[in-house]
Amino acid sequence: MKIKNKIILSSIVLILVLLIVVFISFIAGPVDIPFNKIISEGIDSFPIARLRLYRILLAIIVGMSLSVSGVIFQGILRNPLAEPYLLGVSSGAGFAAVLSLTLGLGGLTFGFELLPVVAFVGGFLTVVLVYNLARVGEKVPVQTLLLAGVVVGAVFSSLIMFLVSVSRMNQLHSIIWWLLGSLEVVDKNQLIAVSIITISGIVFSMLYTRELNILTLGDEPALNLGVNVNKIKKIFFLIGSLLAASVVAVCGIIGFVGLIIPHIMRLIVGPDHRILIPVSALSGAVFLVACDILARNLLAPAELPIGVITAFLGGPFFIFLLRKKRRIFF
Amino acid sequence: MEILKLDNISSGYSNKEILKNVSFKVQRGEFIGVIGPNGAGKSTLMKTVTRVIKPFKGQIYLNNKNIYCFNFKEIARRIACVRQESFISFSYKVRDIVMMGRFPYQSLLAGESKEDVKVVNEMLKLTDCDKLSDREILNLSSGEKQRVVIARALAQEPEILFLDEPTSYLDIGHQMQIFNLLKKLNKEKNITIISILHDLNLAAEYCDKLLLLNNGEIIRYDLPSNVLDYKLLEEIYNTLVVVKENPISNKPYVVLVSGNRQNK
Repeated sequence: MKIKNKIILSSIVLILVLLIVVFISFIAGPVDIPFNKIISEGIDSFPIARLRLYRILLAIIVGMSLSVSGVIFQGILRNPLAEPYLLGVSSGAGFAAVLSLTLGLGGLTFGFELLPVVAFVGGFLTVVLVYNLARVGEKVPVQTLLLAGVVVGAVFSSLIMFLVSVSRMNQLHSIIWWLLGSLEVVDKNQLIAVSIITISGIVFSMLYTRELNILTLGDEPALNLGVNVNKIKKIFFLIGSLLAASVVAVCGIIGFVGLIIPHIMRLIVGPDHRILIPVSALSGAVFLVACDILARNLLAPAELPIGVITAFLGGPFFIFLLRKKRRIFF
Repeated sequence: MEILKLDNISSGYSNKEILKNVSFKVQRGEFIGVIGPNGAGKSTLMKTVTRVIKPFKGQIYLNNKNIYCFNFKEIARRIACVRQESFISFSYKVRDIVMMGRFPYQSLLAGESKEDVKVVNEMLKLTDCDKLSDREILNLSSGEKQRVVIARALAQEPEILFLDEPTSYLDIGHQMQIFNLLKKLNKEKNITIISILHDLNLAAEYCDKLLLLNNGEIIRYDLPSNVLDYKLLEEIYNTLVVVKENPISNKPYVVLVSGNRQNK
């Protein structure tokens, strides 16, 4: 089958699955949604239905963003353990967010909420820091980059723990909730912002999938095949980090999606990024919407943190992958 | 007509200079073997000419034009590389790998053209890989993998093919198969071939000229019979050898003399 037909076919299947999951997610919940009335009267007169819809949209976007970010980092780093948070985005964003919560800046608004902006900037700056720590001239050796990411992440994590230990009781709750991650949409503008970043990130990475394929052969072969290796790597670092930072800023840390979705999809459709990126985006959306159904309904009316569900489902699967031979990763 | 010219090249890594003031010329259609002991600068030479590392000083000309005046795709349409054993960790199909060789001919938005498919099929056939085309690269033997990597390099339709010990992991049968293929490409398609070689006998058998490197300098650049001189080899490789003549091809043939015989 030609690659184009393969992409179209698998996308149609995944979009259908996504529609089904979205529908289930929309009607499942402690509060019944009068589906017929919404269609006749419009969603604005049903605030709960509207909130749930926003939440589903956010789950779709976040699932796409994390999965594509994971595909990108695994591709350019040629490392099966790479994932969106590997370069310190999450701990950097977490530190920035917890710091502003501890200082009592958490509720500040300037027409927009301050907290996600601070977290976004913190996360993105951390990746820039890690990248520059690992850089030797024009080159960024993968091993050094991974080590720098781990070390910088550890430093920020310890700073987070320090801040948690000195923060007051009333701040602690909001800090913990931020760190646990949630798909709740507080502000529609955040949903719009993260959607714009995600969609443009995916479109841009789709433009350079052939280069990404060739990069997986190694830097020198890629250079000899005519790829401007340094430029392409920089573009993908930028896209991958922006995707991860924007998601962390809005939802906190949602683990495992960016690690396992790319692996599962690579097992099913192969390593060609022309198809791997779109199917990972769609199945990441399906996975996160499905996890959110569980998060909202398992202990209803209480809500479980979404990260608990993704890790609980993702962890055992990842161990299963680890038990297999190394080569199945790629 | 000279296709490649190095003019006073010094090159190496960060602060360490490996190649020192290297100058030589290659004529179009020549088959050149680069020989020399470990650490002589053979791989550095290849990396410098293929723009993986920038020389500290000196100029490299391809068809009388400085190689740094070409853009990335332009240079890839003219020079292709085959390494010892390309490390491929993703399970691509053989055809996909060879199609990557067409990248320098493709623009950002356009997909694979009919010409691309035609060239890929031709190169798969030429390298005897057509039966492998739907197999996954990770399931192939080293000899098969090496043929696929050569097919990919040929899909670039290069004027110069650079090889870094293309057959060091292969048995004698596969070694000969690859070198016969290279000789055929050299003769029929007039591709200039420059190959790094450890096996002096393969070098003598197939190459028009040999470039002997030691400590980053060119010791001799001449016909194999003039380079494979036993006194020179003994001095540079620091071991005893006897140079004979291959009775079939009349090319020089290097025989190694083992340690316990040296004492006799």
